[in-house]
Amino acid sequence: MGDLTFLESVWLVAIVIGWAAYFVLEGFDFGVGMLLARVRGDHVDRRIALHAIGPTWAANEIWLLVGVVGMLGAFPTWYATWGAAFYAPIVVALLAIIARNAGIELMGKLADERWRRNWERATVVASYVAPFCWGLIWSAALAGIALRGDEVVGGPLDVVGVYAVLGGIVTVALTRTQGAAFLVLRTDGAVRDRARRELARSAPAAAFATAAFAVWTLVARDAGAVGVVALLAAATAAVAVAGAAGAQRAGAAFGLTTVALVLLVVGWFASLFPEGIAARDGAGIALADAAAGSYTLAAMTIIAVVLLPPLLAVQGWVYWTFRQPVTRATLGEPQPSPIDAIARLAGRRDGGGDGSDGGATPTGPGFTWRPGRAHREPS
Amino acid sequence: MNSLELARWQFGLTTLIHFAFVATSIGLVFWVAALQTRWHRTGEDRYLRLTRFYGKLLLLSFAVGVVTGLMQTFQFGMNWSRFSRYVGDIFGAPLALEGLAAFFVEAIFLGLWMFGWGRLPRRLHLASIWIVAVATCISAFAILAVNSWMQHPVGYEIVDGRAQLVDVWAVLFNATVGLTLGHALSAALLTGTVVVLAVASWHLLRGREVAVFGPLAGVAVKVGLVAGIAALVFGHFQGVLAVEQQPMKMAAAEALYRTESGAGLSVLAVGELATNPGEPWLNIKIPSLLSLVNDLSTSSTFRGINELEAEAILKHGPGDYVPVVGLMYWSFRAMIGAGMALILLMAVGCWLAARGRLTRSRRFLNVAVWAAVLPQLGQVGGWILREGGRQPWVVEGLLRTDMADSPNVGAWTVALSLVAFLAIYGAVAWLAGRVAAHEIREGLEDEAPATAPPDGAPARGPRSTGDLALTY
Repeated sequence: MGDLTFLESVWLVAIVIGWAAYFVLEGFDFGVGMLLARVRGDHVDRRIALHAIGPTWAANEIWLLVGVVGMLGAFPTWYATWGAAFYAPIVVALLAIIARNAGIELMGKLADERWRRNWERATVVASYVAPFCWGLIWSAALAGIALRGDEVVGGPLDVVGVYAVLGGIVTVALTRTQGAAFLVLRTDGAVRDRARRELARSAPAAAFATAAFAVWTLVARDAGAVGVVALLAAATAAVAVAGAAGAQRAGAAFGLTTVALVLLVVGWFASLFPEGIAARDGAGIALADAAAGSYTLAAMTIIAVVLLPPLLAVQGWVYWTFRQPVTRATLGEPQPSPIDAIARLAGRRDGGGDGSDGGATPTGPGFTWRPGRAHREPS
Repeated sequence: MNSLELARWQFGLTTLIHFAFVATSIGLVFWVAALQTRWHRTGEDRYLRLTRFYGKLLLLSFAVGVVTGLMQTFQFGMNWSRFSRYVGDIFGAPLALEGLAAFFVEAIFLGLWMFGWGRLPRRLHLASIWIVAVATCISAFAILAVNSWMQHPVGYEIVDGRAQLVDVWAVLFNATVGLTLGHALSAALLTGTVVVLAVASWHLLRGREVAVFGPLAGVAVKVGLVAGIAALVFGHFQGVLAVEQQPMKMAAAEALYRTESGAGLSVLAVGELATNPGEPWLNIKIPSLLSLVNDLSTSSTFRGINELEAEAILKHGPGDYVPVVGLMYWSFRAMIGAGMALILLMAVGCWLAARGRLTRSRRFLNVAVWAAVLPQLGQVGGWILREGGRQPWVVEGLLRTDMADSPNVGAWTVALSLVAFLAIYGAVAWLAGRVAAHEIREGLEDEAPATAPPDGAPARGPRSTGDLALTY
């Protein structure tokens, strides 16, 4: 690829995959976060929305580290310039991610509605801010920054331009749409109806923003052929999302926003290539000059080749394990939980054996739950 | 303060806060995994209740550890661009290992453990928490390997003014890494054990669930004693190795200016208030003990700061090669003091337990509750000595700290981000602490399920608040 060696190309592709996976997977987590206040009627709805992403969002987030550590290890100079140049938006993105993560983890842990409301607000705002910053950063890298040699010059907010802000808006609009489609697919009842409404609202905005960004890039930036095709395809996919959302086809809308986000990321990196960051004037950070030694790249490649396939398999399996839609019923009705196992055990001890081989001995997957006598809600 | 000093404050403070939660999590995850294993084997309720009780504390400390850790990787690029350029080649492989083998695995399997109660087969659910435990160790190994490289660079060559990796095995597996890992993991286990013991003691003092917390405290003091002694032994050999690899650090830790044969161990030194105050005014020493501890000979030579500084100037040119002596001296003593106090506490606990008086000794239980701060004091002291004692180098002998920062990032930028991060770390730690305090006060879940959910939402059904605390 270009004047990159084979291993350098492998790692460039790996970094693009890392960022794309982050935008796609964490994208709908952010989208769900943005919609948290809009899809809920009461606290149970909020929990339904959170449980839709509950078992998986933390692992989705790790893809950010794959992208970032890939840059640090495989292209140290790229990473060094990137970190110092986009200092301010990175700080804001990290603060937002911290607030969002803390919000998800802590929101439900005290039975106090004020506590929940405050965390919900923090989560909603942070879920908008984080993808906005990442979109802004990569669009700004494409727009070009002020460089002297390998080092950035100028103030921390110099990287924020109109084009970069538009890039941030594109990311927010696409992830919001994707989050809405995800909720439609993963929930039921009132939450699902509200998510469907939000999907119909978000999709046209996403289509418009993505198309505007693609056109601006074509007109104003010196993007290569691959970048042009990718961004145009992203815009096409985003327009198709609006169609799918209009026709209430959430599955198609989810798939198409995913495609649009992948193409957006590919479009950024392909347009930048053979540079990693464009300079406002003159040469930017050339990837070939920024790369690590071939020994390091080989070591990292071995680690990635050995570890990534099983990790992807396990991540996929987790999605499969938690594939049932989260509903008011699943949260409201007695869940199979160890509490029930204890209840059965206690029941047996009291001499009220339930005539089966239940109790502490597991009979099937997990705790075989049967509607418990001990704790049926009086209806 | 200039941007370099602020960047150093930012890295130091964020790392210390992050590590406080990391050490607690690593220690607790082994306790939770062991308790769940006991439940799996024996089927006794008390182990399930303890698993879920300490599991909540584990999840909280893990969550704060994750959010405070996110910043660290980014800081390399933001504040330390010249450092990133210099070491990126070395750090790539270990950090890739950490990201994939540790962070991913932790995130996936902790999610499975949280949401898998009753949904996963029980063996798989139990395996999930053990996998998380192993992943935390891999994470510790990877990050301590790169940190050890900064103390004792190996397996590299300098190409175009940057370190380039030539032997990854040398970086990952050497005595410095091994001893550091052993020390950090045993100290982390000690930290988690102290938390377990402190919480159990708090309940025992109030006479709650004595039949459950009593035996637990009895096990905790034994584990704590073993972990404390292990941390001491690993730490001792780390010190011996550092005398060879980083003599300036150890001389500063002893405030030893003149090279001495049969050097004494300083008990109390008072000197001028300055980064390099010179010979202390007052220095009470136990004669020959330092030499004895270092290599079992009362007459061996221990090199002092003056000789080492002269040597460094000859080798690296004029400059200041002495760390902040007073800080190193007292950090070292804070670490050793905290560690020794904890070993003593655990030994007394074992003695009381052997005589069957552990749960009745209010004095011991009161001390055990307050002892929860000691591991934190110890780890702060330990990290300040390890990182501060290496100064002025960021990579020992290769890269000076003042040549490692981002040259064009302004002081205001760093200052604002420092304030913002400290504010959000403080807020998150405080609020998570509130939840933890609430959970600790609530105590173990009832054996029989709660009949009515406390906030009365009918749709919540019979899920207890305990269930809620394990998920969202």
